[in-house]
Order: sequence, then structure tokens, then C-alpha cells
Amino acid sequence: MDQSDRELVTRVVATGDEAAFRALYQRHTPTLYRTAVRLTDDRDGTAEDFVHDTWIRASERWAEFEWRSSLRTWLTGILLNRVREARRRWARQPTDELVTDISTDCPEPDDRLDLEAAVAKLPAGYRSAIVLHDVEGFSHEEIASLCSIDVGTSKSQLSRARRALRRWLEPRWSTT
Amino acid sequence: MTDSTDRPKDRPESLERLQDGPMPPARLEARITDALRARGVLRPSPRRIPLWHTAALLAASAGAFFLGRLTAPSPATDAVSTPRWMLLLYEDDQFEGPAPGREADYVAEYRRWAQTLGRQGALVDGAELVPGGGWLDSAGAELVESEREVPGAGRITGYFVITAPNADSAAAVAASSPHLLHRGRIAIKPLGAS
Repeated sequence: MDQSDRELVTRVVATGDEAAFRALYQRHTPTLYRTAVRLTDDRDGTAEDFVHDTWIRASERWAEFEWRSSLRTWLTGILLNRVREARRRWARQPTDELVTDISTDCPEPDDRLDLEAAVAKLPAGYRSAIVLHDVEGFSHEEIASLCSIDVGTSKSQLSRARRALRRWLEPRWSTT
Repeated sequence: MTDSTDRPKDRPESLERLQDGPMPPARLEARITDALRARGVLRPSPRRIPLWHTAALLAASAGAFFLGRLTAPSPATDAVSTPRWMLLLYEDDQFEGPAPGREADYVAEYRRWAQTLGRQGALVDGAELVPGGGWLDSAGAELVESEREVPGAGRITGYFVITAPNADSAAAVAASSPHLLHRGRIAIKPLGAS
């Protein structure tokens, strides 16, 4: 039976167990990497660096983690902080900013886009909502915590993001 | 607590399928575990060997290691006026070289770091210093070959020339190098006008 995240972290902290760490890595890195790629467009090829930094920072803070959230959520929070730092450096829109006007950033409705490309064209706040909720399955409560916004804002951003995607991608959009 | 067992149920199927999307590169796991070993978080493997044992292999990869010349764009337009710094990479007995079979990961790790500097316009030049050469002592101009080219300091195995506005910035760049993660040391020296 798979060991829980908590058991694996305990082994890493107590004995430096590399096998335990690799199990954690393989369990959580795909989500971290996909999220990093989609929130940054893998700008400068840095998604890999963000994931690297996330695990390094996590390893420095195991003692601070009180298991009030899932490990996945905690790791994603570290990743998003790293992404925000990069965005500030890139002087771009922060992840948690509520975007109300997408008319200048988004493609025209009749642009031919696949879903991945359409997500990539969403403004930062909308993109975070779509990627974290609809792709990775985080709850609005988790997203609110991760992005320092309230639950209503998370729901609003998701709704607007879906509406934008639906408008661009009809009739291929599936809601089932 | 929310985890995989209670994820939201109202996700459009087409978006949920994007979970099949980009997967992390295989090299990333080795990169991270190597870094955590270097920091003492993971227990070092007894099979690990010093980097100089793999010098021949790395030398074979030297074409890829000549980072600045191959990968860096021209220095930033203000490079002439921005101070330049030499980073000399030292390895001694404390240096944790790649595990057997992981040599290419090390080369890729350094290359990636240098590419990042290059994209930032902060990299002027860089290269691996392969075994050979030596040093001159005060008795005369005779080349003295030595594995420990600088007594007490270990071997100089590579260098980078970077641009940085001041010593603190240069140190910050050096601190981001994977060389320190592997317990190497870096000398930071300002370069005079050429």
C-alpha cells in the first residue's frame, strides 16, 4: 500500500531517506511542473527551475509545515510564490490580481485556438483559476488561500475564464 | 484538508484532460536529489565519486560546456560600462561530483545556469578547465604540473566572466551557481579594463 505523504516526509526529515523523497517527488512533481509551465508559458525555460526551487524551499521548511492543508497544496503555494517573484521581476501581472478587462489581452472570438493555447492566452488571474481548479482540481477554498484572494473572487475569475474559453472555442468546448 | 479524494466535481472534462499535459523532464529528478544531497537533506550515496574521476568524460563533453561561447548572446549593450567579474570554480576533497552515470546531468546543470545568465545578458564567457597545465612558482618560469594547482585551494575546474554592477551582485550570481550546491567554492575577482 502506498505510504502517506506524512509518512514519507517523516522518513526524509528523520533519516534523509532518498527513496522516500523520490516517492514524494514522483507523486507531486507532475502537478507542480504542469502548473509552472501553464502559469509562466515556461518563459525562459524556467518551469523546471521553479519546480527545483520549490522542492529546495520545501526541504528547508518541513518543520514549518503543520499539515493543515494537503502537501500538494503546500507545495503548490511555494511554487506560486516563486512564480510571483519571477513575475515581479518580469514586471508582469501578478497571479492573484483580479482582471476585469480581457479585451486587449485575449484573441478575437473567431481565432482558431486549441484549448492549451487558449488557456495560455488568458490573463494571469483567469489562468490561475482555470489551471488550479479545472486542470489540477484544487478547490476554491484552496485557490483562495494559495492566491491570497477570497473564495468569491476565485469563483468569479473561474467563471469569467470559462466564459472566455467557451466563446473562443465553441463548439468544441465540453462541459460534461 | 483537500486532496485527490475530494477534488471539485464540476470541472469541464476537456480541461481536466489537460492533466495529461507536459511532464517534467527526466533529468529534473536527478537535479533535485543531487541538490538535496549537497545540502545534507538526503543521505549521500556511498557510491558517489569525486568529479575529477570523471574528468575524461566531462572533457568529452567540453564542447557542450563551453557555455559562453555557444549559448550566451552578446553581452548586454551596457556591458562595456558594467563591471566585469571573474568567477573561478574550485573543487577540493569536499566537492561532491556526480554519481556514476549522472555526469551528463552535471554538465546540463551548469549549462542551464549559464544559459540563464546568458539570457539575462550577464554572461561574457565561460569554460571548463580540463586537466593539464599547472602553475609557475617564484623560482622561475617553469610550468609546474600539479593536480592541486593552487595549494590548499583545490583545482580550478572552470571559470565564468560575468557582468554585475557591484560585488554584492556578483556574489549573488555566484551564489546561484550549482557549483556551491555541490560543495565547490567560487572565487570572485573584479576584472580591470582590458
